[in-house]
Amino acid sequence: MRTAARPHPLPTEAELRALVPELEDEALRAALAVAASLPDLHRAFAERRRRGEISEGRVRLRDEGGFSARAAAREPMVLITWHFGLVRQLAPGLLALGTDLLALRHRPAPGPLALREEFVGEGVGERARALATSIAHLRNGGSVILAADGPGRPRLRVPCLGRRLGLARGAFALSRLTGAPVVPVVGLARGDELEIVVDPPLVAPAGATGEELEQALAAAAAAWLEGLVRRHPGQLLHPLRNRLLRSRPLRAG
Amino acid sequence: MTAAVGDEVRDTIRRLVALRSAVALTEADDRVPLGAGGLGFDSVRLVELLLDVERLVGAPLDPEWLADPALTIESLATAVARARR
Repeated sequence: MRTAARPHPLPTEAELRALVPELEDEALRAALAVAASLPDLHRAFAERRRRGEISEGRVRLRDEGGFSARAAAREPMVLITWHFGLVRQLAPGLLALGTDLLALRHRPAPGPLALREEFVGEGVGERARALATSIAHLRNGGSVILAADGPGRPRLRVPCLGRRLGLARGAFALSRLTGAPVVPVVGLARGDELEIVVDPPLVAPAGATGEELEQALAAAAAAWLEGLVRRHPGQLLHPLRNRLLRSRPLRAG
Repeated sequence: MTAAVGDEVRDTIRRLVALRSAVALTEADDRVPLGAGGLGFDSVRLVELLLDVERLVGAPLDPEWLADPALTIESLATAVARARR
């Protein structure tokens, strides 16, 4: 039986100001209030999921980039998300919307779930097997979802919020190896509802190949994250917030 | 699986590993780990190797090729040759 996850530590005023210095006082207070509401929302959604009620009117999709059409046409997509908002409800929410989804995780999510998952282990063979399973799923027209800030070794260094953020290659390598676009997706708390926002695929410079392509996609992903944090700072969860705060600042000039 | 098929697959994989690792390899290296403590392949390079194998050997990529935790040229060749039966 899966156990419930521990709640994430809430952000402090100092942490949010360090990441988004231009936050005005009122926006900061609102962000802290949203952050304080997330643990209860997580629990409420987890309970609904446990009862199989995730699709009951509390999930809405904001499709900004043709996601629904691609999914209906069984065009494969590498969906990347972050430890942000209602992240644990994102894959179940997409599943409830009919997406053929494989979720790559490093550990089980709480509660029973009719979702195909592949657990990424510690060893190189286990990680390669997860990638190979993902490739097979993409080739069958399905989509794979994974967190860009997962615990894999951070091989790609990209600017984000004035810092050098390290990201694992997995999502970007999958895109390079299969040609499937990298599509950013996030599950936002909107009151007591889950809003799944799917943006257009990330764009890399024409002609980019190999590791240059992966680096360009990672940079685009970080730029997308930066916009997300500036718009919804209170929904930045502890694992990613901590990673950003511990990332080295970019050198001036 | 005939011995000839097994040898052919093993030779092909050894050549592909040598190309990807820029190291000259012989049969004696068939039991050296491909990952940490051996040839140092990371997960992405390992999958790229499997895609090379798929193209040259004609067997579709199967995550089960990586089921053996030993992860050597020999274990990979055994799994791939079995898939070609």
